[in-house]
Amino acid sequence: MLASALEGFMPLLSWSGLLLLLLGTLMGMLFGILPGLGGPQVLALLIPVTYGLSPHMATIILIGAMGAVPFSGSITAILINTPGTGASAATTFDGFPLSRQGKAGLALGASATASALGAIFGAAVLALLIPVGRQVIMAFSYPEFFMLAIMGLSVIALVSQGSPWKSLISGGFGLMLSTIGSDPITGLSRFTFGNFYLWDGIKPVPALIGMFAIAESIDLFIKKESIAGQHKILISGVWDGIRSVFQNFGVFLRGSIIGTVIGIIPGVGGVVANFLAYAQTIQTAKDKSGFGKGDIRGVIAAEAANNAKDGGALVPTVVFGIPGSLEMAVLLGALILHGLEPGPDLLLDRLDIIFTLIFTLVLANILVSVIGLVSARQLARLTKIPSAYVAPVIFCLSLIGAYSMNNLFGDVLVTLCFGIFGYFVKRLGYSKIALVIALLLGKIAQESFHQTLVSMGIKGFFVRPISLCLFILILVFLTLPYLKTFSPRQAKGLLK
Amino acid sequence: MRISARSIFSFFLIVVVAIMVFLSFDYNDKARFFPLLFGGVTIILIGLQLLSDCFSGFEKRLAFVGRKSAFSKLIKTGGETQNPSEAEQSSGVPFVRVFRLFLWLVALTAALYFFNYVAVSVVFIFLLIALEAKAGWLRALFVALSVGIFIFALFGIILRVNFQV
Repeated sequence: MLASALEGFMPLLSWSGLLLLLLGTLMGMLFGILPGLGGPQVLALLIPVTYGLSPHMATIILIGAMGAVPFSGSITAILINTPGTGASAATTFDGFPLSRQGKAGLALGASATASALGAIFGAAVLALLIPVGRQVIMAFSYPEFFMLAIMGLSVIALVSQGSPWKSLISGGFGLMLSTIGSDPITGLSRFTFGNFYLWDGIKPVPALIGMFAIAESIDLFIKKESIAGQHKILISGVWDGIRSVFQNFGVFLRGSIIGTVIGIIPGVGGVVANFLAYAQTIQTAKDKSGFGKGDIRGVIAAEAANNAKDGGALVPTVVFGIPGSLEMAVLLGALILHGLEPGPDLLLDRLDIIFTLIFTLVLANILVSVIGLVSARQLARLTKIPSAYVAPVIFCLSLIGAYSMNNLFGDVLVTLCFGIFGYFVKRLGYSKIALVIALLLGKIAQESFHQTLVSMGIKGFFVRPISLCLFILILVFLTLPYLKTFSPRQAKGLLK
Repeated sequence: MRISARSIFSFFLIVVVAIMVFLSFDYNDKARFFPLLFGGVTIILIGLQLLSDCFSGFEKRLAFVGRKSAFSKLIKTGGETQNPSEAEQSSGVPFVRVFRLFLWLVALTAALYFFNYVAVSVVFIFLLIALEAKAGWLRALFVALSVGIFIFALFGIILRVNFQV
């Protein structure tokens, strides 16, 4: 394992590795501070750039970008009350009041330190779970992978924002889309209508570029407004902010733990981590009077959780191949593109890649914190760029990027179709994450289901303890949101 | 009966899934198992959603369809996928503007098929910013040319992309 860790760290010591880390971090910062854009969009746009790169280098630029997004989102949240990403929304509650009091430096210093340390905490948890993950993965076979794939979707229905029913519909539709192409067992082509391009099914990367980069940009362009208002940007007292994290270390630690745990649960994401950590800090604080008016503890908890969740979200992604968040879903697609199949193969055969991923996540967070503090004022000015200028650029980059993957025009069409479809999915309150994860997990579910039937029969799903436990959990997750509807009191009412 | 964007979208989803389920009967047992299973469940889910979207009577009876998750109550702003405030904000946008933008995107895709992608990008960005976003011509030209140079450097020189369709 130590050898793999060293092998994973070496690419980061090369000039090209450092350059790609810097490039990824800068791209992540840019997308992080622009509201409406975030991790999934920057990853989707960077995928075409990684085609010619080795798997290590591709991982560095992608994780560099992903790691830079959360803190960058908090810069504009603190300075101009506009969270760059939804995951920084709770940071505005106390970050912006601090800015208005002329203490933006204090908030930014605390945010940068909590972000960097939170990310290190999440990455450390991921590193510690790898040896356990290897043991767990050995106990998993086809039925467990089938149950895990279905459980991934049912958890999303339970915890997603908005309507769980619509999340289930999105998941079901995504699963249907995953059946397009050759059947993994019989090889029969399904729903291809004689089109050769569809034989391989809907490729995840063009679909992801469409769903995230194009769909979000349509929304940005339609809104047609300047992102920031006319707020003044004042920065001082950064060192006090850095010190405040260590003075409130308990707040930081609780935020990091919440972020990591939320990250591990597939589909929950940074928004929930950010809010839960903030809410928990208020609940446990003795003096609650300062919250919402500029209490530094609010910034520390929210940002620690927001950054720690990335390490947590990588756990199900690399151990089981089940994406823990939107970013992870796109990252999963990118890794597959480079011949790295997250899950058992990656964990058992390419441990060095996982360590590259961990080290890059840590370094990107440290780098973005330093760059962010130095250039916060200039970065915040970027939000004054009207979104009408940003969106057309993303349209072109997305469509050309989709083509450059395989030199297939079908990829461009898929990107366009998913972009338009994704816009309606978002506008009408359906779940993009459930759809995308279902699209990615559909093939795994089909393969493992048939393999279970062939090797163990239908009883294979229920006689193995882990598989049975997962099945029970699925039932619980699917029924939980609706149990309250049929509470005993209401049942009595119905009987009357 | 209410006809809204929501009900039309639900109808679209149910039609797509129904067609797929119908077609899957032509396949052998193994190949059709999953489309039938997923499709059957999804049709039921969308069907109830459609009834809830179209008829106010069903909306009350099928209250569980519109139930929000526990996290929606916690989170009032921000969000990755289903931020209600965002959805409400977007729903106020006139559909004509959205449809016009879709046409621009279709035109961009068609132009990429027939012409050089660097030139297409420059022209598309310039026209979209100048005509649709109604920004200044000079600004639009500056953005278009800058991005054109970036696209040429990235895709033309570094990645050697060549649209040969």
